[in-house]
Amino acid sequence: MATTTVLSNTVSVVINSVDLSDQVTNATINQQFDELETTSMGSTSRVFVKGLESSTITLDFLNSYVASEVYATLQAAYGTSVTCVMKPTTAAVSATNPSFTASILINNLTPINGGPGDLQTQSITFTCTSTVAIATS
Amino acid sequence: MELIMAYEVLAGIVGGKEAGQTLTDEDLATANIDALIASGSIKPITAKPKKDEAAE
Repeated sequence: MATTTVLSNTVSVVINSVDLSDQVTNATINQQFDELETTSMGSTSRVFVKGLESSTITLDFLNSYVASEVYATLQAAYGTSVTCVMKPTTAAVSATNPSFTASILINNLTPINGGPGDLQTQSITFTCTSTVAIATS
Repeated sequence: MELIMAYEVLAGIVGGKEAGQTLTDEDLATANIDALIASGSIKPITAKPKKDEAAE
């Protein structure tokens, strides 16, 4: 049994230094790297080695169009790579509240999305253009 | 003399500072400052001489 559990309602999301936490409804970091096959004659199974990191970050946003919120922040950075910093909680970075930092390419946006009566939202998967750096202090 | 730019936060929380507070380009070292200005998040307010510790 887990000795600690963490509610995900306190995840901190900062993109290009702008705190968008209160406009994010879901946050996912998918850390992965390419697997390069090195299977050779005599191998009895497929063999792979680690390649380059190719992580992604998926964020669900509540669309908001005022300054320092979702649309303004992402649209101004559209086509560029900016820094994204995420933490499990808003507390200071520590061994039990690590920060995850990556450069993300803002290459897809959904600035209008929804029907009558719907909340305007967008779910975006950003490709990381760096490794995901983890800090504990 | 090297100048250090200062910026006023116009809205939201930028670089850990709230609207009306001041940031420097050192605070925004990893940020795309042009995008922050274009989005109306910050505005440049002044250029201050950078402290030259070697001259002290």
